Amino acid sequence: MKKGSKIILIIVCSFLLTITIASSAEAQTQQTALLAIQQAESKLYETISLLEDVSTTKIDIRDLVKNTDDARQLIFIAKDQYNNANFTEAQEKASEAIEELNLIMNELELRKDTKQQNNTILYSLLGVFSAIFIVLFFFSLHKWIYPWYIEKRNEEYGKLIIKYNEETEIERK
Amino acid sequence: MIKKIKAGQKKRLLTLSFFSVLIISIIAIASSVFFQTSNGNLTELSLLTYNSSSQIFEADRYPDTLEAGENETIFFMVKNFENIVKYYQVQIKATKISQYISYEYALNSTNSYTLYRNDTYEKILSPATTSEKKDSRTFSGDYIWGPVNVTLYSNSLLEAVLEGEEYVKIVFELWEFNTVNSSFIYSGIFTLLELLYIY
Repeated sequence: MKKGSKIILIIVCSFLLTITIASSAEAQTQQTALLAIQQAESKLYETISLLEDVSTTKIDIRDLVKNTDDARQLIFIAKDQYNNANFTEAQEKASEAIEELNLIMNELELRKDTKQQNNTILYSLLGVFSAIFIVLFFFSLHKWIYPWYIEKRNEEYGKLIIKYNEETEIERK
Repeated sequence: MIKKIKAGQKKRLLTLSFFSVLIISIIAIASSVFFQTSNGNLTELSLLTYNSSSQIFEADRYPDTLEAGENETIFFMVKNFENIVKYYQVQIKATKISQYISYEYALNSTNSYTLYRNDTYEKILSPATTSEKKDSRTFSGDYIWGPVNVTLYSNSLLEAVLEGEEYVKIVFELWEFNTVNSSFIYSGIFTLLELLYIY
């Protein structure tokens, strides 16, 4: 084989090898982007479910709802980029959305825990004060109200004398 | 004798206190159940137009025609009065004037043409607070989506659905995200426009 032919053969082989590697890398990037979008979507649904649960309580989550909507838009952009074969950008946007959604979920859990702690303290205090009130109520009932009632009753009716109508009784007999 | 009366009175007083507490508790529970401030769980979907002279959105002066090759502008607005966070989607469909619009079933591809099929309108909304529920004239807030500008257009696919009918019905369907199925479900809420279609 001539030297020139060898060189051409090497160039062709190198070219084919480069194309194969590049297309394989492209396919891998596409796969990674698709996976990232799917993960982001699943994370979004999880966050929405959590937001729905938390919004039934009285926790202020308006900022988190807004951030979730921003993450949803990022996923939308990622999908758009993916459809236009911009897989690297698609993966970047999807990863950004995942990161944002992770932050939101952590913050939601934190606010839920804080609210739960506050509720525990509030209900404990309420229980303690109710118990104190009940004890004080019955104590005052026993110590002051009831003696006062007896005193008043005696004042009003203590001097009354029961007088039987003896004549009627005799007549009956 | 005095001791016996005293004991009886004490018992009576205790019984009276017990029943007072019981009655007060029953009233408190009943009032919390029956007289709670019900603000309704609903979603509001409305169509608006923009009055450029007064620079306000109004539920008036809607377009009445759609000409082939021409566009019409309309705005929709969604308000979340549901008491929980909601993920909404608005689907805009064109159908024949004779087509029945159901609260149970959404229009499908056989009886309608979906505008912006690949670019659906979606938004996650916070619920309105009690004070926000009282103010129905507001156009901005975390519980409000819009007013969103929509350009109504016509094409051959829409004309195929119309089958030569003179009028077109533009239906705005509200879909809600269901976290159990992880998909959007038709809420039964819709609003529509009836336009004269000029071929």
